[in-house]
Amino acid sequence: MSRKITTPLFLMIFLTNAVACGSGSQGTSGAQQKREEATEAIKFTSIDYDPLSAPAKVAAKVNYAISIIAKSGNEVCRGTTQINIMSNLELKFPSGTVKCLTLTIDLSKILGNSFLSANPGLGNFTSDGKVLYIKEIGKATFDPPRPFFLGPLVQNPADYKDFKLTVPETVTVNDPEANVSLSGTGQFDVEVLSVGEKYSNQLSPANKFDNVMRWAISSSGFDGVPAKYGLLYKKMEWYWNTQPLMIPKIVISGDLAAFIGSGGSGISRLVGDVTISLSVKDFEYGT
Amino acid sequence: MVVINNGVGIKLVATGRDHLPSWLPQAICGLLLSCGAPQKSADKTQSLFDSTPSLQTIETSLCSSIATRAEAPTLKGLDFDLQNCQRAGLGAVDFAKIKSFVFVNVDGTATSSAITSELLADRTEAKQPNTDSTLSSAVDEDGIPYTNRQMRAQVWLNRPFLNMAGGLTDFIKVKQASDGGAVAFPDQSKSAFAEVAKTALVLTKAPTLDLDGFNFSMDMQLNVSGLVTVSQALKLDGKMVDNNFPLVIRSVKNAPYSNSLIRDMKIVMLIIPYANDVYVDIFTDLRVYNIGMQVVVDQQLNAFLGVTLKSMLDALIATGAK
Repeated sequence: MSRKITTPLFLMIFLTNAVACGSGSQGTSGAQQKREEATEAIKFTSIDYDPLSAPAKVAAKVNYAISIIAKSGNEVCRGTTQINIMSNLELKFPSGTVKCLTLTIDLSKILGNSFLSANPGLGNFTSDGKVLYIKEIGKATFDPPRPFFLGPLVQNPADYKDFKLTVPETVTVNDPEANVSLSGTGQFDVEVLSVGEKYSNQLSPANKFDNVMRWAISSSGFDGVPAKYGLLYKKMEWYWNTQPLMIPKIVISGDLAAFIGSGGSGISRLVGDVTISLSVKDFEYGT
Repeated sequence: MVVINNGVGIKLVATGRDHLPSWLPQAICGLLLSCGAPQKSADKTQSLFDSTPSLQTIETSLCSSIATRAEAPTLKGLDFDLQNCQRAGLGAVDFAKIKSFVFVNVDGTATSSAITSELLADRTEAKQPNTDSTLSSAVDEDGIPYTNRQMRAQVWLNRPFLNMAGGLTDFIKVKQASDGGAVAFPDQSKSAFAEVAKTALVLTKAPTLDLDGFNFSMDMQLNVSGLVTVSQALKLDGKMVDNNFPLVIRSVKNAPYSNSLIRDMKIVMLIIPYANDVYVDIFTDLRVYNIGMQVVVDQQLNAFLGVTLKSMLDALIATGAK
């Protein structure tokens, strides 16, 4: 055993040296004073800092052209709106509701922002590396958590080529204020429609997106559960530029009348499935 | 039985039937060499009679050593300037009272982060111009841009050095016996990121321990899957230097964006027993791929790093407390 020293011995030597030569010669109160001198004053001893609760910054300001198409296929109106994509990937709408001729559209609710705000925190989400799932959206609870997003950081789009996923779901809605308590079963179908697609539009011909992954989430079933609970739309299609990150287009179709108000008679034309299309006009990244 | 008392209540006890164990002289030499004047500079020798050196003095010396020494752990050739480790302890928080590390700039000034600036609002340093933690941008071989980000976190562990070092050496012992293997994070399931980003750290082979110089080395693979993908082959080197414990963790190679949001990383951890407590100064240098919305990466990465580094230290301390 001339050269072999076991780890516990190493520990013993090391610890003894450290204690003997470090602060061991000071009493506790003297040590505390010494430490405070060293740091001038400890001012942060009771920090309850949670980085996940840090205020989000604007990651990108995006101006979209909005178009509403009735079930008949006729375009009801066109307008514009700004959406701020936040650093926590929340979508914010500086202008609140969107006016489109006589129609007033609550896009924040359609895209889930208001509902998500009621269920903040990463604890509401799970990820399997490809799909981001959510447990609760507003008053709706999903079992299992429903597919909500792909990515959102898609580092290798090839991994998503031809990706498809079907998730049977039970949704439970408990909305005492509206005296609503119900549940329904159905399913979500996720499908990647293309990867590496190029996208541009006439609104902003200078903006060309070369790395677009196009994917859709469809829902079916959930009979008797209004679409406004849990974003149960017929289909949400996302054009997702993976590098650099941008959302050049979003298309939502389904029973959206509950989110659209009217100052005139326009609302009567929006019975049944409605399609709302958002196409990028211009954008700037936050710093 | 031989009892050696080092004067501060710690006893080395050795037993033997016919002769003293052969390691005893080495233990005694270790004590003498690490405590005696021959290794101390004049000012440090003087301080033995006046008072203990300031935290800044100790850290500046350690910082200089880690930057220039030829053997591991060293920053030589790694292009990471610790800026003399100035403002030692000025941004330090009590480890037991935080949920996450709070990051400041490498030079110790407050970052431009609103949260950190708020926390440091009553400090003189906070009124100084902030140093932008983004140092430079470049493009990788595939044309993907990446940005260099440097951060620093300072904590007081509020516990004796024994716990920390005990956890570390226990850990080495276990991993030597098992020829490496996965590192368990007992509280990972409680992390806010548990369901959205799973972290796995695996020692790819048994750690090495050189008793002559009290240094050790580990080869590790860090994988994060979920919201983001990170894959980093890492090398960790640690050594006792003047009774303090510097660790250098660095990427072995650059990772492509398709495999890892982080291209490469360096972490320097300076563990300093001081005033019956343990002060830990953690410097990080990351090259992070730019996804366009950089503030998304900044916020999420800061949060993830802050929580993950804390859970790693939690795990280490928990091991030592057992």
